[in-house]
Amino acid sequence: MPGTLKVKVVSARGLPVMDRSTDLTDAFVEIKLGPEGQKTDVCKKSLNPQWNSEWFKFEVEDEVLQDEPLELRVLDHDTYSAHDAIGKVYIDLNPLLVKESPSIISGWFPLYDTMHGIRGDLNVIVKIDLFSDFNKFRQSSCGIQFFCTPEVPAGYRLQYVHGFVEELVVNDDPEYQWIDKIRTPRSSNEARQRLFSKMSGQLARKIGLKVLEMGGGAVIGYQQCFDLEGESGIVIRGIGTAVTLVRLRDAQASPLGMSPLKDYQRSMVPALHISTPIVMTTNINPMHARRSLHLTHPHSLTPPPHSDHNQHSDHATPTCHHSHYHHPRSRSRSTSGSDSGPCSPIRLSSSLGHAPSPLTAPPYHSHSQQGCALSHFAFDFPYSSPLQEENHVPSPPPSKKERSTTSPMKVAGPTNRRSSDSDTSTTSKGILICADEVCWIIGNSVGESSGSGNGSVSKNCPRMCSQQVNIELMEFPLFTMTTFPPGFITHLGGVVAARSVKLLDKIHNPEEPETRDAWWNEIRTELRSHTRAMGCHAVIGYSEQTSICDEIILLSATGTAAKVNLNLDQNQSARQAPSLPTGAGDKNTFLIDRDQNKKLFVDVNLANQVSQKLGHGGSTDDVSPRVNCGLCHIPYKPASSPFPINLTQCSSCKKRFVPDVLFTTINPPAEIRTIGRGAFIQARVCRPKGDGKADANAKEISDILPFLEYELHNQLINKLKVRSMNGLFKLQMQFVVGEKMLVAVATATGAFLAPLPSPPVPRLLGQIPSEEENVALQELQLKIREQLQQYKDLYQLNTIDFANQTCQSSVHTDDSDDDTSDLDFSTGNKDTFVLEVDDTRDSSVKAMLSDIPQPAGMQVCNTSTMPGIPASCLVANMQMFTQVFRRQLDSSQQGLPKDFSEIFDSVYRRLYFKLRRMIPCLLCGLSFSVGAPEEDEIEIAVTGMCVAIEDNNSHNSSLTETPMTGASSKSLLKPASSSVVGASGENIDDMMFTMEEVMEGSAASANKGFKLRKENVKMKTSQVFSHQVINSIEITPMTYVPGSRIERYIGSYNFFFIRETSSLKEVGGVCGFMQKFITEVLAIVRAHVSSLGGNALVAYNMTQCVLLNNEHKNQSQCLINVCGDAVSATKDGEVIALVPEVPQPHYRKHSDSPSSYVT
Amino acid sequence: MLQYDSEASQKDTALVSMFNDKIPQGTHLLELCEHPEDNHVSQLRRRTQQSYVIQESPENEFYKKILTYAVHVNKANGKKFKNSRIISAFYLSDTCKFSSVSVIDHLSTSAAAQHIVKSYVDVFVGNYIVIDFELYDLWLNGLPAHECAVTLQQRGVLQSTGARFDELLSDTKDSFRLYASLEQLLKCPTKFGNQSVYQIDPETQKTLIDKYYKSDDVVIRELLGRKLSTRNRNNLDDVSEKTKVPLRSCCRQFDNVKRVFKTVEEMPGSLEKNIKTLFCLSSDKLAKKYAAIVFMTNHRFETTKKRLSHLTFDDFMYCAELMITNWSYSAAECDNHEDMDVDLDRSFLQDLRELKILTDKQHLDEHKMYVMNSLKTSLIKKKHSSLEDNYKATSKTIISLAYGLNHSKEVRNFFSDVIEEVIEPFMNTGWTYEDMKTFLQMYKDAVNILTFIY
Repeated sequence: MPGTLKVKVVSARGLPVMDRSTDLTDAFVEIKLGPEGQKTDVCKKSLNPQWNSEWFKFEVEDEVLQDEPLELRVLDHDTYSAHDAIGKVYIDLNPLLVKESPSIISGWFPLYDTMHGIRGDLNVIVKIDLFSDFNKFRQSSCGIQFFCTPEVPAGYRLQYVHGFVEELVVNDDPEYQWIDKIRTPRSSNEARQRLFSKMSGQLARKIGLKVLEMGGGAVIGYQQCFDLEGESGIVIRGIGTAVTLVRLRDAQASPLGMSPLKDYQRSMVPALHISTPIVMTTNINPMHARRSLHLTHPHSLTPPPHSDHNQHSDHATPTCHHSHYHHPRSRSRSTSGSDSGPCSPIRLSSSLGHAPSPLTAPPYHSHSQQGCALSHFAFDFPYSSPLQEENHVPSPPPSKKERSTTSPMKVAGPTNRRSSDSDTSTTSKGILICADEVCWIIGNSVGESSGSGNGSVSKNCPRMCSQQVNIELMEFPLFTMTTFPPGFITHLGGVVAARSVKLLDKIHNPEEPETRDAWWNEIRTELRSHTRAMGCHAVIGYSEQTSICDEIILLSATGTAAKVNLNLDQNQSARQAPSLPTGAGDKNTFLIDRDQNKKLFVDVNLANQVSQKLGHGGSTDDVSPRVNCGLCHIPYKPASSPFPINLTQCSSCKKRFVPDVLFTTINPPAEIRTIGRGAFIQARVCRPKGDGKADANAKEISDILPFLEYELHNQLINKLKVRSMNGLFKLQMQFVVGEKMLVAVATATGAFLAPLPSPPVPRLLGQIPSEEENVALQELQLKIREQLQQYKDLYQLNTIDFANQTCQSSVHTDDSDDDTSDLDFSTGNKDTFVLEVDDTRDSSVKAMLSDIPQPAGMQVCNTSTMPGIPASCLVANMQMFTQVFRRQLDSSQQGLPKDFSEIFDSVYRRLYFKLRRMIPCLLCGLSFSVGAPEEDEIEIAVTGMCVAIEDNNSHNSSLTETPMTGASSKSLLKPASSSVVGASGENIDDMMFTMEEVMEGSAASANKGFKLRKENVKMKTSQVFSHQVINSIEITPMTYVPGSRIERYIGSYNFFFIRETSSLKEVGGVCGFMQKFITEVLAIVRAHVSSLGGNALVAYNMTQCVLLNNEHKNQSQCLINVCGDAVSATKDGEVIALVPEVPQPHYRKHSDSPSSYVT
Repeated sequence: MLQYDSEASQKDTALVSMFNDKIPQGTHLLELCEHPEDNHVSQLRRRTQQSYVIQESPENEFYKKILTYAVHVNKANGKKFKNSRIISAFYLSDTCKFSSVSVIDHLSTSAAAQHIVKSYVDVFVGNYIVIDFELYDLWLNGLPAHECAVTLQQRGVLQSTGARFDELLSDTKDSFRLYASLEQLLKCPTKFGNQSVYQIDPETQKTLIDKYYKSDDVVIRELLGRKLSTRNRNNLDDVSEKTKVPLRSCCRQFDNVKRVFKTVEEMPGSLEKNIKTLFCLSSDKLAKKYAAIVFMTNHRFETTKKRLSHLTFDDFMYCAELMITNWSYSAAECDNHEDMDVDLDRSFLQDLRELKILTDKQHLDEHKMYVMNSLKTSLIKKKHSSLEDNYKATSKTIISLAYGLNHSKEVRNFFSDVIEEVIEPFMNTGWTYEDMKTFLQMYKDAVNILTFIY
């Protein structure tokens, strides 16, 4: 679909002096889109030129709009010699291509030069007129929205999850082309920057096409990574989750149904309710209705208790609603295609659901075939015929066999997984070895057939069917999200990871993506097989990483094995539950229990995220517990656990088994009840390695990896135990290959999960207890005890009745006679956690005790919210920080580990010291990126957010919490407020609050007191940090802005910056260089957000930070890649603008005009 | 003596002792300035006139490297070294501590000193600019990062947080780098409105600017009436020595004055208002101060004479303010506001010529009679009679002072003339401030009563 791009160059300001003789500049602007270029007149002799140009027009295909950034280049006109470059602005046009987003980009953009940094600003207006041709539109991926946010974006409802999308694009690195030898650093950098942004545009476009093919409309949890492979090129990889989102409270988006909700700020009425009003309209065409009967079955409002596929009539009415609800929404053909997707599977799902035990696995294969056929049809005929479908309901057993062949795992059991493809010259290896698995996979694989067949698939089926096209993928889908809607996750298995070492120079066609595709497929397949081994059928919180060192590349994929309920309709489970008893056997009773349990936890209200099912959940369930211990239950059968594992009865329901620890890569689901505060836990391992060549090197690395992994895991467990916790969230592991070492860092947030047993006190066990040693051992034991107590105080875990817990669990262990065989193994050391130490100076014990304590009043976590601190306590963002730290390591063997952990310690100390004035605060979203840039150097880049927490703890959360150490932290607040800025309260804020107080006074609601108190605190914080005024731009790694509500998403931002200097000393050394560069990157990001009419960038992530330093030559080069979602957020209590456009000019006025007092 | 930086790691202990060994007793090490624009190396060389020729020897290898580096830094600063041999001048004064640490600072990142500390990165960047004003004040005072950290440590910053000196120093350096880059904006505060690089809230901005333009009266007193030349700037260490204000702070104040002066010198309108808007100053007092300084500097009032040494800046400021409000183009009586505030109203000065009439015998006597009569009650006998005796001379001096204001040279010496010719004689006869005030009031009022016949 072609479009016309219009660009108007208004003016520039603050240009540098380019002509020494006049101290002025003759500037003009070159505007380029792809190969086409135009330019403005020269504005003579001015540092603040005004061009006020006419509209420059570019008539281009949408592919160009998606791939190419608009490039504006400001030059100094020179009559005799070449024009001198002043700076450039790249504008990503993708936000303009999404329907809901702003139709205009306008604002001041910093002029960025790769050699000089920011030199002035350029004021530009950009518009696009798109030709609306529906057919063509569908074929291009124009309009597919990308969200970096790894969860359902605020203001949207998740309608479908279509599954995992991935793509990779390969290109030559301009830095390694011959031409680089003769061109200037500037043009080389610019060539690279252009290429990066073009590639990422291409990547997104290709992914968009895939999403369309699957019938989705958006990508959430989009992650984009650059692999700088050096000689063999640049690879950009993108992964994400294709979904169909429905915009809430947006009447236009859903033309027919979706009657605007009365209280759209608060809870959202689930789809069912919305669909009801449309019933009438549907039945106009009976044929239609009949066909659609199968389409959207899972969403039916009141499904019949026995949804037998023979009973069409039963379904007719309810399902009709649905078909119609979807149908009008998706005016376009492809969406209807996606709707047609669900049709056949639904049939199957119902049949499966009824007879769970005999059907150990769903008839996927035949199904998928049919699905493909259907989807093909779907393109031509939106509705597939039900008859055909019925014919296809197959006899399950044969299909099961077929499935296993199509399934990613050709190798049957986990034991075989160590298959290394020695046939290729590359060394590849399943890193997750069996021994490891015991640790990582805190559960075990049970009989796969039954495990994946029963509870999971029956529930899963409807969902899978909705996109037959991709059924193979959906068999073990990977989800890149880290936070899920309530009810999505049914069981959490544990962390699964797969790693592989490859050699870059062995790629046959470096320009082609095939080899890398194969690599990643291999890894994903392995990961899926791990997932299967854990009796799970999905991977959530999935992420991929690489580490490159010379020709070695280490690929890793991590995720959490889980069972999910893709059918987000809560009634679905309710409907199925009654049908279950038909199958006999105690396994089924388990299922019933589980399902009934599940039914209960319909709702969780994440304070920031608009809770979607609140009203619904309340109505269907008499009890409305927000927690669900089912998530922690093992997803496999305890009896068939091939690995030793401690299983206990769930402390909450006392019916199911839970592991003794649970590791996950996701944010804490609201369903899991935690006790006390969360704790930031980090394990880090550094091992020296030889400097072998190619194959030998790769071999060595892959030999060391399992040990690294094991040690990492051990550290995590130890640190967890000493904090009396039993669960890890958002576990992020990074493995780095250096020239002479291997580094592994794992970061996570620990918590005490109520359903899991309380961890036993670690006890030391020495092996050679000489008299002296024994004494030392005793001392160490004492130290551990002290530490334990300290941590208990810190994380408010004292309130847990540990005795009670253990007693309970022991009682219930006795109850579960049928499983004693499994539990026998663990009973031996059940109450104690034994640490075996070789000698008293054992480093593992040291590491366990030596964490740098955070200052009082400061909480740290790497999740987006802290377990134990309700979201209502997070009042305002205070500071988003980026810390880059690089140090030299003592490369001698003994010094290495010690030095290594010291480097991390100093990073923490610095961070805590820097942010000391922000106390009381929460550092969240902490993300570590470690690198080994030189032989003996370690670089750590940390980003995170410092959020003000409101400390008075009348949390009206259901958590049993003791008041925090209030006195000390409150007294600390005062000096902070006086010293940090000393600004007086902001006028607007004051007014706002008084208004609300009046309102509330009349309302006299029950929680009035609470709200008032909250406001007071807010006022206080706004006084302390007056920079939180409306015209500032937030950048946050979180998906929310505390104290504000995200109104709309404007577009995702992704850009690569390169900065180089050849006068390092003059810019203040490498520190000065880096500080300046990061500051500038943030400034450019802010400018782009504001030009789109936004005021915050959420899900900010610095995915890449590569610093190359050559001080001998006085040179430095740095590459930074940042991404995030631009949003417009309104402060709580602010009146919502009726017209969404309103805040935009309001904001812009602020940014454009200098601060009022200046003029 | 070289103060070494703990940042530069323990290895430097040996280094420092090596330094001490190599350098002849009694002399001091070169101290380079961190800030290129300060240009101290050349200046310091000029002052000390000492140089070392380094012999080729392995022990001296490192020493040599430092010198190479010094040369290099100098080159980078735009100063061309004529002689590229490794002869460098070492600055030898411990009064100039301001840059003592920077040698190591630089060395740690310089190629020449790679064996001391390998390069390291340690930066912290936030989305918002948060200023620690305690640190900012220290920075304004011109203390190097290391000394600041020490000062803060002594103030007990670390006790409350449990951090180590290392973190404090890192924080200090980080902040100083930030301030150094903010300095570009501070030099032209109106740019704050147009910049998008730093996200600073208005309140912080205001404080930043006000603090940056704040000055020490003692330092300004030294700068008053001086020509704001580079030569004078290079001699600021005298001022620093005298006032005990760190040299870098003196330099900043000098630069501020010079910048303000250059900006408003040619500008029409109210001096104070111009300064206030162009430099975004929030306090009237500060603007007034700069107005007075600019005024004084413009007229190059002589203030350095020994006779004037007891006068403080406030005294001068008081006078300057009165001059601006009464004698300049912005004076209430002045009807011609086209010209600049910094200049004295020409027509007013012309009018002063007419006071000469008072020196005529006839008018003098009449004037004297009025004055003496009205002073009879307020002055004691002795003073009254002494005034009566000297009246003619006194009056003549005053008139000639006024008359002389037409010549810029006379204007320049105004203060010393007033002291010498008017105040001192009166003081010698034991007059008090009150006496003087009444006398001058009468002296002025009497003129209005007189009827002049031309």
